[in-house]
Amino acid sequence: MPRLLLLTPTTTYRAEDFLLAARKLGVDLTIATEHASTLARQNPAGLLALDFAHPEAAARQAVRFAETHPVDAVVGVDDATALSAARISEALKLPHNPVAAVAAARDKHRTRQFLTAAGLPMPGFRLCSVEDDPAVLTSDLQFPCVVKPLVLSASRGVIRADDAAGFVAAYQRLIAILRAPDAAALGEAARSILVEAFIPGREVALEGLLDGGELRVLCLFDKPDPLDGPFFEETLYVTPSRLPAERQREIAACVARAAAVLGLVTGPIHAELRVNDAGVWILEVNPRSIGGRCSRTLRFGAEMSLEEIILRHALRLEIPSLERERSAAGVMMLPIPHGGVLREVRGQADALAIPGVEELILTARLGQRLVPLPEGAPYLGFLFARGETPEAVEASLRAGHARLEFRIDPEGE
Amino acid sequence: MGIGNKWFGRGQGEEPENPLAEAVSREGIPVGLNQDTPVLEITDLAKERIRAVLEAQEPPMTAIRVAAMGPGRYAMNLEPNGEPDLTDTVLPYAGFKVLVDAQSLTFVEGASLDYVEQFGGGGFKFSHPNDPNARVRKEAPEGPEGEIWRQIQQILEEEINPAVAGHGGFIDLIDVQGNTVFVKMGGGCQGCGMANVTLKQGVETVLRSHLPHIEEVLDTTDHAGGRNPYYAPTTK
Repeated sequence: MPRLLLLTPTTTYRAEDFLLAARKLGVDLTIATEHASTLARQNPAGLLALDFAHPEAAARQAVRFAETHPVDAVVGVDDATALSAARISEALKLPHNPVAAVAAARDKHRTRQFLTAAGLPMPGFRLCSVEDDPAVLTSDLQFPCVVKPLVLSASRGVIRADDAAGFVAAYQRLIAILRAPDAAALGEAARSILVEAFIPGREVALEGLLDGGELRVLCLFDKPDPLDGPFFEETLYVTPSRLPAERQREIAACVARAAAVLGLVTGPIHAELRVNDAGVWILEVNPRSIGGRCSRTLRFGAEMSLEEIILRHALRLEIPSLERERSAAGVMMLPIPHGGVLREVRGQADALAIPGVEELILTARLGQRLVPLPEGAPYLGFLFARGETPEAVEASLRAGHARLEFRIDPEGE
Repeated sequence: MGIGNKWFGRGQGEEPENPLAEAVSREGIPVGLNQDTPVLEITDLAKERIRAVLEAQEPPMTAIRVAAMGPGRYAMNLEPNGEPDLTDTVLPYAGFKVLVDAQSLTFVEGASLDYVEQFGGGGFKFSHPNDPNARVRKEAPEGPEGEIWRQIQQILEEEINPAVAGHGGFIDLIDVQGNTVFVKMGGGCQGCGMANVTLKQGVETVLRSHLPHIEEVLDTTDHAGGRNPYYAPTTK
């Protein structure tokens, strides 16, 4: 039985779905986390602690582990483990993306440098520092623009500025976010700020699988809610895309080229792009699959999950089909309407009664302090729907969301 | 929970005239909020005892403070000046009010307070229907199935729970059906982002090493109700 080493940060939403897929395949599974499991002593072959923050150290630990438990594939379940997965695979002589390529893809500034140099359409950008005086920076900026952290995820800290005064305010707000303990702990990268041109247009996300450098498109998501700022809270993802087929081919070609420029050759790929009259603009290309619980939107062939495809590919097992099911599908990442303390959620049964709505996963806990964007990050949960058409799915998700009522009290009440 | 010593400073049996008694039609509903269910349900006997203790103070008092250090960990004290702090939630009851600070409110909401008569004296007792610290201790069924139950319970208590207690968690046996074991996770395990990993890579592996015929361990936990999970998912 092949052994899979699954790199699973304790902060991920993805553990359950990857675990289910691994068990379905019947492989010998080792789950690695950055902190030792309480039951590691009872199952040393199945539970391992690896230092994800230091990929070299993680690789040494994994090599030692593999001496007694040979590993056949290494998969990082999300962004936080992509670099360690590549470095460990390299050390174990398993198929992998080049470590330098993964490092470049995870760095928004280096991604832009590489892709711009290769002639791919990218927003104009500039790397700044938390030490910079934003008022001075405004002298040669064009508006609207967007300030972004190099670290952090889920649009946290991303703010649009329409003029000089707005830029100074946005910049200072982002500096404060980056000085929060959890962000500052991310190291030197938390001292950099990317300033780039705002690209108007509709946003899409491409989910793909790289095999020998060739991109296989698994699906293209439309994001029907406008993402025009000032903050960029993602809500709806619906597939198949309603864009014209020619435009979809253009997007796929753009992502394939971006992956090649970065040097990514194998495994899952998740790209975010903007589309407008001027063409297709790459925002991000990441060597990972879609985040949160959103992958539950996707089913392939005979009830294969996205995670199963990723694991089959890593283990070099047959993949019966890469064709997504015929029906349209979508997810709404339930946005935090305002800050406070979550006290009560009503309307779950009503939301689930909406035709097409299939599942509701609430990830926020009662009593949890909620902080909306740009300072906060996590969502209230995920609502899933399926239907005949993307329009029907979008309508189901909006109707389901409208049935949900979140009682969020101001803090201290 | 037993009540603090100062509550017993005066004779509980003496029932002075109650100067605080007044009709409160929405007992336990926070002042200024329009909701139907009380934050803290207090039984008639407990209310009677609270009023008696408050009235017995010199001068008589009108408020108590309820705090919770975490799920299932409650404390109760007299509030001498009777005035809420800025961040307190005020819960009115006939004859007295309960003050709850903001941090405690999450854990107090939905709880009940009773007064339990016991031999040699009584005491106040908090309970919460969703208290994740409430352990499930099912009796093993009679017959051959009972032996399997006892073995599983023993493994949980001797090998699993001492380990997961390191994260404030516990795992209880709920049922055994054929070769499938049903468990409930609580404390730091309830709502934990790694609960599934603990269950499948830890609990199931350990149980199967002792009882190879077990095919699967299934989770019956309401993870959405977890108030204090050890790991909370945060990354996209």
